[in-house]
Amino acid sequence: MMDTDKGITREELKNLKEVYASLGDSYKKILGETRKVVAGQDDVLEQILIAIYTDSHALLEGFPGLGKTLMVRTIADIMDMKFRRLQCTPDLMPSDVTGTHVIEETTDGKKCFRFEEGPVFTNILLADEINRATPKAQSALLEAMQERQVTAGNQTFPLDRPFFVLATQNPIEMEGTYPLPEAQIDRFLMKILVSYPTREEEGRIIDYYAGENTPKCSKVIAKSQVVNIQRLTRMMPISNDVKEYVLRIVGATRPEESKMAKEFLDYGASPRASLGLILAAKARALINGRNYVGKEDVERVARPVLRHRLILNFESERKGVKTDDVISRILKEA
Amino acid sequence: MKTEFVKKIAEAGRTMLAIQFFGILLDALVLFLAVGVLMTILGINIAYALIPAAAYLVFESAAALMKSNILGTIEKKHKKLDERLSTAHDNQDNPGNIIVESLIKDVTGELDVMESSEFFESRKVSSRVMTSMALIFLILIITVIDFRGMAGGALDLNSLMRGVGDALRERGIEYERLTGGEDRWENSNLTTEKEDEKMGADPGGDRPGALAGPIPGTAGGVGSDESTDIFGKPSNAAIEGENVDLDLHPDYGGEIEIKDDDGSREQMAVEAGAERAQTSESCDECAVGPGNEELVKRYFEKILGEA
Repeated sequence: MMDTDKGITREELKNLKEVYASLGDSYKKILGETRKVVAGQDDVLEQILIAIYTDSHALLEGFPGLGKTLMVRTIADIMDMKFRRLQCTPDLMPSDVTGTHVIEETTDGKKCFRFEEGPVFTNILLADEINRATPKAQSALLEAMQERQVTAGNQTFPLDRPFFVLATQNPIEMEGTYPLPEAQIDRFLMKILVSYPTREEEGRIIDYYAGENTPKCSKVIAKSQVVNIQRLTRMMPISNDVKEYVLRIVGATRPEESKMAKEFLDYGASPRASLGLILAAKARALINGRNYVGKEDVERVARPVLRHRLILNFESERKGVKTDDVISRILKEA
Repeated sequence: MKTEFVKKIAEAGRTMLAIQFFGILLDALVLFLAVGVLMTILGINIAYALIPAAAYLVFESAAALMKSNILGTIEKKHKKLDERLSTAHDNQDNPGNIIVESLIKDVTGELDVMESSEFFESRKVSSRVMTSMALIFLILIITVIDFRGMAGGALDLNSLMRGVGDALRERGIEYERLTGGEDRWENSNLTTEKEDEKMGADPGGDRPGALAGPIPGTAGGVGSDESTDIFGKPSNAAIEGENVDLDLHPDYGGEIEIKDDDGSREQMAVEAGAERAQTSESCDECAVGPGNEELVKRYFEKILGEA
């Protein structure tokens, strides 16, 4: 029975309250379980969780061997979600991503078409080296990400909820690759940079994986709880001040509106960035057990949310200016 | 819960505005006193200093009302409510949102334990009070001491004593210099303008004044001791070598007790509203009570005799 104007049933409301009450603990447990398997990278974990809780997708960029796949697989195990890995190569076809119809013989000898689901029919999809796939294959994936459904022939197949795509890019070996166009890259909420571990963390990696036993993690929260957390993220209240702050930051990235942006950038962030920044800040506040969004949340998620949406001009690239530097200056002046 | 929250905000807002207005009032007082000091030095009526103070009070009060940012001020003073209060306020019309409800509940709890003293800037208030006291003191000093304006005046004791005498006279205190000596009026220049006005016809010689001679009088002052203290007790005087105890009541009558050197006493009642003689013509116009007539008569006879 519908109880509120928002169309939430009593049962759903009760579940939401339970999930909300246990949220603070669940993040600590997730962190604890992840640390059993992955050494360090707490920031990366937080950003991946933010992307999941906002029901968005993320780009992961880092050198090979830094534990990107391991991190995502671990999160999928902890959250009781299906995990699939898609290795993108130049010969990848769209049907290899979405699925295709196959001819099948029934028990009574008749032949019929059956839709064979592609790797997108999962909860967490790791699209490795997405910049190596052809634009056609990239489009198929991006379309599935956007629509959360796959159309094959005259049939539409909805994807499971939650659905989260983590696409990786190898910053080296860019020869023969198809970099994602800016319009497509804009659809990812965040670009998460994975850096080298510290010496101490590397020591722990050796302890974990050079010994006899491989560490394992266990389930902490159920898939249905993740759906509720996604709902709670959207319910997180935000003040008008913080909203104005976000708008100032995004406005400051546009050369038409800001002198500094004109000096360093060719193109600034779109309204999708404002939306992304707000949602990411909400998710961060929720993860940290707060019931309000602060300016600090916005500042912490600003770099991952904006860095892939700003296009540096030639002069900035020549001088070696990075988008993170530009974002830092904008935050200082906002 | 939302009603409770709104009530608390309104209450906090009222307290905050009241404290703000108190601060503005103090500032207006300091301004009044500062301008008052200037006006006192220039010899202008201090009441005119009310004009800038009143204008300041009105403008600042209006500005405070217009610029009033209750939420921002509360968040600034009470760090625990930073960003939470404005978030709760901006989202209060969002029923059924469990996170908003939880936030409003937390904020209402914090508002409950918030004290009015958190809005009170004690340092600012105490500095204003000290400044006011200093300015009041400065005004008193300037009023009492005649600096002769901005001309760099010297301290004029004559004027000082005239001023004191005037002040006392206004309060019905006759402050005359009375001495037992023959020359008590000689070199006496301690007269007041008011006396001059009241005496009427030009005197035939040195005229006594309320401050005539040293007070309580040399050669025949209190007892037989000469006192160089020109002030002395206002209730002690000597008339014709006779000590006079005066109970001085400017507004209503009193008693004059004359104590002779030999210890005999004579008491006379001073009628209410008794004033010094305006003219030397008619006793009816003198406003001198019947009990004092003899005394005054002897006094003037003596003066004239000496003249």
